[in-house]
Amino acid sequence: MTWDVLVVGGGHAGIEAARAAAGMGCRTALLTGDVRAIGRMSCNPAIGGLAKGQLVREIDALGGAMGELADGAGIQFRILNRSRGPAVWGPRAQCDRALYARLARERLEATERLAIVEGMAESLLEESGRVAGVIEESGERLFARTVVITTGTFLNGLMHTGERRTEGGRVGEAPARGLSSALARAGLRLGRFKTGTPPRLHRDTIDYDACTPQEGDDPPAPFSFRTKSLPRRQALCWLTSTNARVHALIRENLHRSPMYSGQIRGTGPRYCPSVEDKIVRFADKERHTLFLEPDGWDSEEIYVNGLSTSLPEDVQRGILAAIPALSRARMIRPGYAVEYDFVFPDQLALTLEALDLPGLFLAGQINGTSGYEEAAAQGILAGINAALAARNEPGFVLDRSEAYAAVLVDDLTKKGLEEPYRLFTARAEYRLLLGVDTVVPRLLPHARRLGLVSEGEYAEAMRSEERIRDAERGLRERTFTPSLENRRLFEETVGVDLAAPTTAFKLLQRNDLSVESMALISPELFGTLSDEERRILENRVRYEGYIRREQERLDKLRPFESRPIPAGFRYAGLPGLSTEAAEQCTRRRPRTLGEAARIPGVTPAAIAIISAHVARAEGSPPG
Amino acid sequence: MVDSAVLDTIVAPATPAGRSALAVLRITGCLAASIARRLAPRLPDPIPARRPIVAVLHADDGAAIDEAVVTLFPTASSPTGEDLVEISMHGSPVALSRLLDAAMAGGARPARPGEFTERAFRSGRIDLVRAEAVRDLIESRTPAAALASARRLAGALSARVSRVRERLLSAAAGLTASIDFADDVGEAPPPEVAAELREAADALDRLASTWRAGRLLSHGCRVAILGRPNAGKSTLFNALLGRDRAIVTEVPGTTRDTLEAEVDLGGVAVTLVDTAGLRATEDRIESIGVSRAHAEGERADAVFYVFDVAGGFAEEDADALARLEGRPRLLVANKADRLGAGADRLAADADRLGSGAGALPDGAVLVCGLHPHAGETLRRLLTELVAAEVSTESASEMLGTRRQADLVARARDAARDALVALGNGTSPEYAATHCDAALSALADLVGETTSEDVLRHLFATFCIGK
Ligand SMILES: Nc1nc2c(ncn2[C@@H]2O[C@H](COP(=O)(O)OP(=O)(O)OP(=O)(O)O)[C@@H](O)[C@H]2O)c(=O)[nH]1
Ligand SMILES: [Mg+2]
Repeated sequence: MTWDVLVVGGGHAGIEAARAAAGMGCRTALLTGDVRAIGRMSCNPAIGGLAKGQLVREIDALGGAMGELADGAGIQFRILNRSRGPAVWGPRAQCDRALYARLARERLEATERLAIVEGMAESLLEESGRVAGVIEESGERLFARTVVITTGTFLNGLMHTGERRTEGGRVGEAPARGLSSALARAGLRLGRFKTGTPPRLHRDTIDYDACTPQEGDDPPAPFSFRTKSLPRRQALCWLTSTNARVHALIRENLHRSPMYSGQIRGTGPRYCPSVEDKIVRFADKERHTLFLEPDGWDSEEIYVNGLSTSLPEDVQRGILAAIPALSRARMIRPGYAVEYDFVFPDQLALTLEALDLPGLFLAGQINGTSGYEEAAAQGILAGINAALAARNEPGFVLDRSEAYAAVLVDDLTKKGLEEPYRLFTARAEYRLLLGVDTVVPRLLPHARRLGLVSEGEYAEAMRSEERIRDAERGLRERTFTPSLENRRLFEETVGVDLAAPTTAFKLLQRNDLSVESMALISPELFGTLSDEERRILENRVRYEGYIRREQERLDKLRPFESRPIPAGFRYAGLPGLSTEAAEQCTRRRPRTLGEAARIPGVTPAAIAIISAHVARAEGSPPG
Repeated sequence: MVDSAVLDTIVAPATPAGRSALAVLRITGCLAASIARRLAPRLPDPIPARRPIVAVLHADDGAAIDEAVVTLFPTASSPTGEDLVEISMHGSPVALSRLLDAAMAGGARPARPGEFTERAFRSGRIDLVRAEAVRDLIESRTPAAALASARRLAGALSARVSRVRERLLSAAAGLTASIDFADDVGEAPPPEVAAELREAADALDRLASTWRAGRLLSHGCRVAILGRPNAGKSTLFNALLGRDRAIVTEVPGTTRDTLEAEVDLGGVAVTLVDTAGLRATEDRIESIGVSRAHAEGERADAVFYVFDVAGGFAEEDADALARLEGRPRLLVANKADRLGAGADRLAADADRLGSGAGALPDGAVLVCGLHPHAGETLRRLLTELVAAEVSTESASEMLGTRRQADLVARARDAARDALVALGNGTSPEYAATHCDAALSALADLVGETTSEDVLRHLFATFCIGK
């Protein structure tokens, strides 16, 4: 038989890809080396965080599983950047590692039209220039109209602990060797990245008195719009930090670290794959925070977030000994680095389909990204697009102003990669429009159109946004006149002199008034809004001008950004256009000027030339 | 389909029309070298780079056009970023026009105004600020203006802008770090952010303030001489010019139409305007002159208001002055000699005597228009009035166009907004939008993100051949 969509790999990208494809009605198979490894968190036992939390909510609004899985397996929930506006809130959950994997597997097993197949993909089947399936190690052939590869860090995986090397993509799991060369044979350029993991410690051997406890939010906020409530009981995390002795020890042993590149790139703070990098890049920082994260309710393992390293075991022991809270800690497993093949993602279209091999989609760490959330976001987009391609329908591509997921894919496919790609809010041009507060109205309509959420779920989820908008309207319509009674009310309740007739909206814009204080004056203004909805409303009102300006900026740029470049437009020989720009554009076939402008080698001057000629081709002046 | 590349090699004379010792023709584009070979088949093959070669130029039919010097600047060393051929020939309009025809027969098309500079900009050879300086340099009317443009052309202003951009970028990075690395670097934006923003705002403000001088240098200014009949306006006008331009008589109402003449004052090209004396009159011609005088008063950047100190400062003078409220002006009390003191003493130190001189209104300057050194004194006074900024700025880079001034002011305001936001506890993701706005104004300034419309207008103001 021929599958509509065949997903290779059962990690976070594979889960989303398989579920999306099956959810869109495709007969889907998920091929994994080990069903017990489905949904395994190979790195830290947490989902979300800065920018990543926004991604999880986006995945959720597109009908993905990650949000609900994290809600189900979460043992501690926090929103990072909570003191700021919702545009930069980063929801994060500490998860029970084993529970997460179990829930993920159950979820997949319960998915209609989805079959889970155990086996390792060895090479690709090709037919008349298209991918037609994969050949397993066993020699078995699996035929499929589209194939999504999500093998994470397993391609030619090699683990380093100091000078010691072991083959594999994760501890105890074999690497995928054949697939790497199959991809290379298919003409894809591969590169090699390294990523680090920290040591795991036994929870009963840590001196918690020397740590600062970190509690979850009360009440906890779920990732998924489907999750109605979360258990109140939450686990504690603990903070400690490195110190001068640790730094000195690391510096002395730098030459023994395979992770340390010896180069310092850039000046600003960047994503640091290892503690040795951090110490070299931020030489003047006296300490770095370490987060001690439990691996689950019943697990004995503690994950030392912030201490990823590939230094030899004896150095790791020395580091622990130099940190008071960890000086007697028993190391269950030392930290190690994984080195693996990735495919340069500039060989993919915005649908994540290989430019030169139709039917082949790649998603996740295989594309050079880091993080579960980045992987899952690509997974769901690749799954959707593989399903569409299997049905011969045009691809699904989001705009950069619409989703962090789009920023991620656009960056990956357009720019070169020098280190594992991690999402930051700063990568988005329209950060203020991409907050968690706008995820549902931004993306749920797409999910509904694609058939990934039910009508009932849609209507229910959109209700929250409607409530906020209604409340905002109510604030604008409600005017407080400075009657004697009102003035006394304001003076006594919130200490504000109501001198002139003022709308509730204007009052809420004042720095000395908040939703809480306004609710004292007139509780019905905020009627049934939840806590989170109140915070969102307050921000929208207070920073109304900022949000409007951002929207105006987008509207102003949109005619350029979305100006279509006709299919088959000829770049070669355009006067003044560099050969490099012409070649890049010819290959990547940008659909709009905005897309073209983000291709490396395409300068603003080149865009001006292309724009003028597109206009000429259309017979209208460029706008 | 026509191969658009063929259409797009451009040609234009780089020297003014008319007979002259030399004329220069330039061809740029991918066909430039092959056209040169077609015009001068004897050129060595390949044509050596950047070496002037004497060659005989031929028309298509083989008839000789002229003997000329041909130089090829290949893409790597060409100011336009494409092959460029420069031909220096004898300045014969007939030969030049035959050569143009021959070049066009070889596939070049006549260049639009500013197209050579536009190509230099589009190929990334120069930024927009420097491209504008090309035009400003050509159009400068005084040596000081030419010097300021030349500095911009050499990249002094661009360098200054890029230093400010560095600061803003570093502030933006700091703000962003406090959002994206809040768990690592802490939630409070680092203190350097405010410092960088302040430095950037100050630098931008200093830059914006150079526009007063820059504008004077590039656009010059207009100074009207106003006053009642017989006050001595035309006398002062002549003294300023150093020549007898206007008719002077003792008859009130001598000047009727306005008279213009240009002087270089401290590098500023000042257009002086002499006007009819202000008074109510039945004479039709004179009354038209009077309304023109008023109109000049409104239009001018600065005004010299003259009155006869012996006749005294009358109510009409006060009325006329009131109409000029808020504009740079100088009140000139002329005919100082008639106060009784010696004419030479007063002209020599015609400082502001203020109220100390009895009935003189505030700020009036005593002058004797008949004094042989009156011109120098008046030029000094006028320079102080309109060109003071130019002399203080002359050592630094100045903004040269309104476009530049507007964008720098916008960047400054945005940097200040960012500072205010940072100071009043606005969340950094919002403060960062101001920082981005400042950066994007500066990106516009140097032409990285300038819209096509603006560019088209801008290059259309160039002359052909540049
Ligand atoms: N004593 C004396 N006579 C002066 C002085 N300046 C100008 N005059 C004389 O004043 C008379 C009028 O001078 P103009 O320069 O024609 O005066 P105006 O203001 O241009 O007069 P209208 O054109 O008629 O408005 C002439 O006879 C000048 O010689 C001065 O400083 N001292
Ligand atoms: Mg006169």
